[in-house]
Amino acid sequence: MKAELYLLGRRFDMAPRDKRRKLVVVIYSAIFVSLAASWLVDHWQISVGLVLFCVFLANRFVFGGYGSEPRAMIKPFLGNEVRSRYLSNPDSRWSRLSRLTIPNVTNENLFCSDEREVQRRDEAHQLAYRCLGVTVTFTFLVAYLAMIAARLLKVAGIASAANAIIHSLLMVAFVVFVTLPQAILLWTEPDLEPESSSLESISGAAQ
Amino acid sequence: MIANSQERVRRPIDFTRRFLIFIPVETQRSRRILVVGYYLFFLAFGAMLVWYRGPAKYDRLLPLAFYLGSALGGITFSGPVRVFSQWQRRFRDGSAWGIDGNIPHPYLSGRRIIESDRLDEHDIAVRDRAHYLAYSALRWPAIVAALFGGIFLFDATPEQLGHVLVIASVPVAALFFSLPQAIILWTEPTLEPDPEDPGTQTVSRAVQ
Repeated sequence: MKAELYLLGRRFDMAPRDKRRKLVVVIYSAIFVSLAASWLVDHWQISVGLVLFCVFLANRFVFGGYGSEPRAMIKPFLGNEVRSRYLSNPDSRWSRLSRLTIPNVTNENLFCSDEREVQRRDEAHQLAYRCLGVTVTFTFLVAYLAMIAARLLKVAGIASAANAIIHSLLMVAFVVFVTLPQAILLWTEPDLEPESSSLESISGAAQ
Repeated sequence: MIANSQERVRRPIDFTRRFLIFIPVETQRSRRILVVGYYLFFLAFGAMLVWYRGPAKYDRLLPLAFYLGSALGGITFSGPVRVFSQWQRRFRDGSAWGIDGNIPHPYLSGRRIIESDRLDEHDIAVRDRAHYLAYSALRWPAIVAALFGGIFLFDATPEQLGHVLVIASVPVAALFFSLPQAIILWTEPTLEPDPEDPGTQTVSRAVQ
């Protein structure tokens, strides 16, 4: 994990854990406020696409982990595997393509995770899998009950409300699925020390 | 993650970690066959159920997905894969504590409820790695479903939405409840044969 975040041309010091926790809270709040606003605007017909796109952007440029964005907080989860394949034959077509699309593939410090980081990555995914299991099970249960009692819901006049609840749960499940392991890592890692070498490397990559 | 010989020595009658019901899962080959057979069985059973009982009974596959997933272990205390629980029973007094030994369980502490085996560092690493791989494998189908699902779902009535979700929920549940266990069974090496337990031998001789 990196101790700083580069966003919109500015550098943010993210070494203290409190700052990272605030970042996670701000991002999740922004996502759920946007989802609520999208529901009010057009009941998630068109605007939800924009919100989901913003979730992808936040995931890519702030959280990191999945993907190879050099400025994101978390190193690529697949960094070690990709780099070992790259090093096995740097002149192959795959490696040349990697150099073009992943600028940091040659930089071990920015791209690869050490043993502890790999362990923390797996641990975060284990925890996220459990949380997701609860969310997914609850969503399917509600959908199943709504299907069984569809006629009753129609008579009671709450069919559209049931629809909205299922849609909301699906949205929450998706947002959680895409972002939760990274958020757990940002939330739980202790205070970091700023790394001068990574700062220089990022500046170099940006230029 | 699969029980080792030391545990076998400690509890010589417990076959649950080396057998799934009556199927031996001691070698990597047999475990891989079990994983392939598990998913083939689920597919065949689902197809037969829909064929003979009609699509209306499709939703009965949901509890079956959970039951079969639990037969592999991980989410329950039986099965060849040890339970994934964060909470381990303390041998001294039987109370349940967190893996680091410092956090008491919110409601199990002090109560002798589970006959759990303590996970060592290797077990925890294997468990976490399996979850990471399962999470990564399920990530892309979820993204594709989110991108294209909206086209079909946003104009649907609650009944249609429920039908679509129930249809989707069976494969998702079948994978979700079994994938980490399947990865562990697939990747763990062949178990070593049990050493002879000198204590048991002594007792056997005494009985004989």
